[in-house]
Amino acid sequence: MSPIIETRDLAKTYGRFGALHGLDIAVPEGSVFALLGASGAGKTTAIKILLNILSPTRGRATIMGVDSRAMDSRMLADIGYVSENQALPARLRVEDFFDYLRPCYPQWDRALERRLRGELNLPPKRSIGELSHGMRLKMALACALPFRPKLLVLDEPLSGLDALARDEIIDGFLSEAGKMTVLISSHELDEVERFATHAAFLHEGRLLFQGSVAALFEHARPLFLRNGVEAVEDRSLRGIFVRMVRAARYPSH
Amino acid sequence: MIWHILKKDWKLLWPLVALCIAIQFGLEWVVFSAGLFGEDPAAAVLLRPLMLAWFVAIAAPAIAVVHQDSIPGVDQDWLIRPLRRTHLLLAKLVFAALTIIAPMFLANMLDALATGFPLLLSLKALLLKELFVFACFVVPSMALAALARNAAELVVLGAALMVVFAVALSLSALLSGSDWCPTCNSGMSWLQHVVQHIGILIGAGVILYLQYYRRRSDVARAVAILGAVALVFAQLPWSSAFALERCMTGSSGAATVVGLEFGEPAPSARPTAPPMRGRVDQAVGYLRRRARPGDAPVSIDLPVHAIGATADELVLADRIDIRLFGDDARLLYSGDNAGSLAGLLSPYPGASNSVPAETYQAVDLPGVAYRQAAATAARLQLDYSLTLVRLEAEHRLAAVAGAIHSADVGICATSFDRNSLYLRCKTVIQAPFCFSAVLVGPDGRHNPEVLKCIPDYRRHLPTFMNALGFYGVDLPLRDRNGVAHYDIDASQLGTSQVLFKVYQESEHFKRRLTVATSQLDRWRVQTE
Repeated sequence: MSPIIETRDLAKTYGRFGALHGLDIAVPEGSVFALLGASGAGKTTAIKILLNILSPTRGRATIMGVDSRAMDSRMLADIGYVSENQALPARLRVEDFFDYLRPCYPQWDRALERRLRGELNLPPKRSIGELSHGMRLKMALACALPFRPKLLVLDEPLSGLDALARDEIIDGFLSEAGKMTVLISSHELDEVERFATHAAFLHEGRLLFQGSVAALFEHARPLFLRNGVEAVEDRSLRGIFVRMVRAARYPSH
Repeated sequence: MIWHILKKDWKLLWPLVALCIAIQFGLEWVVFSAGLFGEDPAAAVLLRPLMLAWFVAIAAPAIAVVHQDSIPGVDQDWLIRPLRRTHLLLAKLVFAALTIIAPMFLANMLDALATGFPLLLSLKALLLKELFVFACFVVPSMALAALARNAAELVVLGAALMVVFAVALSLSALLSGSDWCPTCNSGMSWLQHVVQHIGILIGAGVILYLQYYRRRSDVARAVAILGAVALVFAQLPWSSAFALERCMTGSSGAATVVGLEFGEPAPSARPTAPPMRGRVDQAVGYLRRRARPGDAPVSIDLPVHAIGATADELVLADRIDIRLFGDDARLLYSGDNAGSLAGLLSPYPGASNSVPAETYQAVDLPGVAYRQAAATAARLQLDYSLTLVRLEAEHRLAAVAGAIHSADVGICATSFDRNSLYLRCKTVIQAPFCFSAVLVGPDGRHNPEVLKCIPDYRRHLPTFMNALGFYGVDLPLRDRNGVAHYDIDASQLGTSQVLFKVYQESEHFKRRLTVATSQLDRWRVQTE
């Protein structure tokens, strides 16, 4: 699979603080790529650079073959984006926001919009500011899918949600996942393990690993060896991540 | 997409827009109701708060619409939508034009038509004025708003800019003294304002470009700060302003015969009578201001007057460059009268031409330089920048309930109480800067003519608030101190008329006057 997103030596600093230190990742087309890491690992910064919201201090990122800094409005018509921090027009009603977005995307599918709005149970007459956090994220997702994007970027879409809302969000984007590439950043590793085909671990702005989930488990085997014997422990994405971060923090151990 | 963004912003902002339009129409109604003499006291009381609210009402929608899709920050929804930046910017500009400028135009137009001004004249004046408000107030407000994420940030930024502006102002005054603004308090100040407005518009354009197309908030904020400093320091030199004004006015040749003369009228008539025309309270105040104790700068009232002007012409001094030379031609002092209007140098309207004009030129010299010069055969050189104004129109109207309606002065009416007769005018074109009025009785006797001449040579530079210009003059009927006597008093108003004259600039020219310092002491203002 050819990469739909590729970064080379991507770095971002805010004054003296380095948020990213030479990030090299490649997101294969058609994959569900999980960008994982603790809060402050640099996941959101990386995504903002990919979408040309932030400029990198060093290095470059290409998205669908185009330098992210040269990305124009036409390219954005193929990218869906959902973020927990997305500032939506609070006083606009849900149905008005859909009315506003529809003409922005030439390939908008009204049938899909109706289906998503129904499945996610979005109240059309309520203003966005009156929606709960979970409801707002569901609405953002319902706005990001009807134009059938080639790339769906989800920045911490599960953060602060109850189990029901998480399932609705996950089911929502998985229903369309086969037709697009999904880049999801999260620190909710247990949830992400259910659907991610590829993953990258970020720790303090540095890449610890990237590859397919299967390769990740293979790669992580040495971390579970104790005196040459494989320990039967938590071999989940979370277990691997914790060990990798510890190994990065305390190399001598 | 412009339409869709516009529709979205309208859905979000219509309550604010409705309130702001109500304020605009409210102010217009109050201005209309207040009439020429403030006939409606309720309207007169409402006028001031509504005028303040008006500025908020035109800035608020402009700022709010920009903040619906603010530029600084990384979480705004528009950043990840396939919107062209040009469409976004145009949508905001069109929104401001439709919700601020269009209602303002309508309100102004209704006022102008209801007042009685012709449609075409009003249309021309109002289109120009609304364009001016849009370019010089709305667009800069939007540019400032584009520097901040929300209103709170904008308030902080605005306060910072005001501090920068104030510091630059005091620094400029410290470095350049009273000449920090060469055109201030002169008829040429409008040229400086034009330069400033153009600068503000260009600055706003640069900021909007940087924000909407480059999203460089740091650079754009630096541009705003530099702009605030440039507003203070980028001053049009007097010589350039005068040359420009001269070029625009052209030369009628009338000024070639006009010169300046150092005259010596009767000392008893000294400084009070000519400038004050018998207003004792003003004259006393004038003398008090001019008389200074001890080591303070020496004030001299020089008897200077213009010669060669006809009875229909007035000579106005726009600025005097003052140089004091020692007996060895060494420059002892160089300065100007910037900051104070030099005034009228020709005979006062209504005065006989055979009588020399009793006009005194107030000149301040540093005490040290004056004493140094007085002891030697030094000379004082005065370089005058002058304007010849010519009588443009003359109207007569009844003193009681008089009214005129003409293209050159607009709509004028009279009113009176036991102290004064009031002549008030409203015009949809540029109000005249120089006019006089005199109360004339049926037998030809008249009160002193009152001249109001505050040089302002602007050409179609409208004011922000209203396209209608208000002006007027008060004609005293009695002196409350009982000193001056007026031939026409309140009891004779029924048969009297007001002769109203309007003057217009004719030519700008320069003249030089040199005075030996040995003469100066005679005209020095004595301390009490």
